[in-house]
Amino acid sequence: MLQINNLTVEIDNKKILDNFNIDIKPNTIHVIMGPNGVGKSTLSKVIMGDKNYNILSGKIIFNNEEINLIPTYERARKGIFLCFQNPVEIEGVSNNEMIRTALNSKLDKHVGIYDFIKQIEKSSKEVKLTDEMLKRGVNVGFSGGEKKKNEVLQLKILKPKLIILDEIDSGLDVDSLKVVGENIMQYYNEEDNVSILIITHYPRILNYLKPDYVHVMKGGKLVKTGDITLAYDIEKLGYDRVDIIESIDKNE
Amino acid sequence: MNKITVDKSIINIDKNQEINTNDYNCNELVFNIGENTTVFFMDINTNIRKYIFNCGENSNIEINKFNSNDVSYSIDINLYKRASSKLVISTVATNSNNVDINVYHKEENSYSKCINNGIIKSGSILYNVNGIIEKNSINSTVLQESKIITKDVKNATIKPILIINETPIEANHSASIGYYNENDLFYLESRGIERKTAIELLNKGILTSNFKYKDKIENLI
Repeated sequence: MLQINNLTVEIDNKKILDNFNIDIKPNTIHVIMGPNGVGKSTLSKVIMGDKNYNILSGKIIFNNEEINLIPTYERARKGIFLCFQNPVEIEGVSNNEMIRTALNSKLDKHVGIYDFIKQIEKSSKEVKLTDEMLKRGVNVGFSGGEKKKNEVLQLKILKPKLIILDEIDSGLDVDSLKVVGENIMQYYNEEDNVSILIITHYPRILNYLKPDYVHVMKGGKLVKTGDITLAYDIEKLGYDRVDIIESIDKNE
Repeated sequence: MNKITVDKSIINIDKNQEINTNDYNCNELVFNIGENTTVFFMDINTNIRKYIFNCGENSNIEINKFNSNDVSYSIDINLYKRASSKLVISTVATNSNNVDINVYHKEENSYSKCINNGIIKSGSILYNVNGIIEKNSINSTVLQESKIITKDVKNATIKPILIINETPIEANHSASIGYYNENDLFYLESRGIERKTAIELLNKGILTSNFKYKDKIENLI
């Protein structure tokens, strides 16, 4: 579904991703973990087409098509969805209006108001957002947890194929984490050919989203790959200690 | 039947109501609002050049004014004891637009809020916003918020002025000139919304969010 080959990216003459590679097959969940400043969030924004970043070399391929030069809105329409770490607040543009415009854009037709309301009412109940919140400006007055639920609501309506969760667990209390985690997992189980890329510091979201692969990122590239036990090792030992284990592994 | 344009119309209001100023064909409109009266004014793309609102004791007015027809005008609001006014101005410029606002707090416990939002497609906008707290206007409140969206800041001017001749009072003003927030645009684009449509959404949000009847102006933006 998503292949990234030898991707090197800079911003303000500073290299953030360095010869980065990953191959995400359909129906798989990948996790990238790593300390602050190793390029995890940059990766998510570059996949989404953030023009602030300069691609020096390498290719991003989505469903067999190179998307390096494709604008952000077209990537989204092709099925890539980024759950932002810090979703913006937009005064004056209601959540309902934004989501309906996005749905119309994606489907390239005007979705009837009745069908839209039915759909959004069902999904908003599932993520525990009220009707009143949907009428507010995008994320205006939302708590950190409500913003993340709003991201999940949007993905349930827009039905993407590749979901990138950039620190979806930050700012979430235990109950909100459960709502967010369970709703994403339900979507993953119900839809065909969906893949998830989780970017996180902590494995607690993995109680709900069971990954097939766990990667450790450092210095703008993946340095280690394993299964979920690697995530628990990181939590127990820290990134530095995992490095030591890696070098012992190599020497053996 | 054709409307006859008169130079000046003076209207006395002593009961609560909503007024559409598009019903008046004149250069200058004067409203005398009686005590304890609440009035809502809607004004869309009129060519009226001067407005005066005299707000009697304990009266309450709200004015929603939208212009995309490149007209320059002035608004004077005189607030007497415990009178309050909320003025919402939205401007879409394709040519020159000069807006002069003067809010005079003449007596105690009066309240005013001005919200001015402009989008420059081409041309220019000048918002001259004056809040004047006169002597004896103790415990009054004067609030101003102005914002202009433009690619070229040279074409946008906001002059927020507060003249305070009494204390204690509450006064606050803010002004910003600039282009759309790139993070907002990236967020909307990441949902599959083309940049042009994203800007239309933001424009609508900026210009209509404080309007009572948003649907009346949505198609004019």
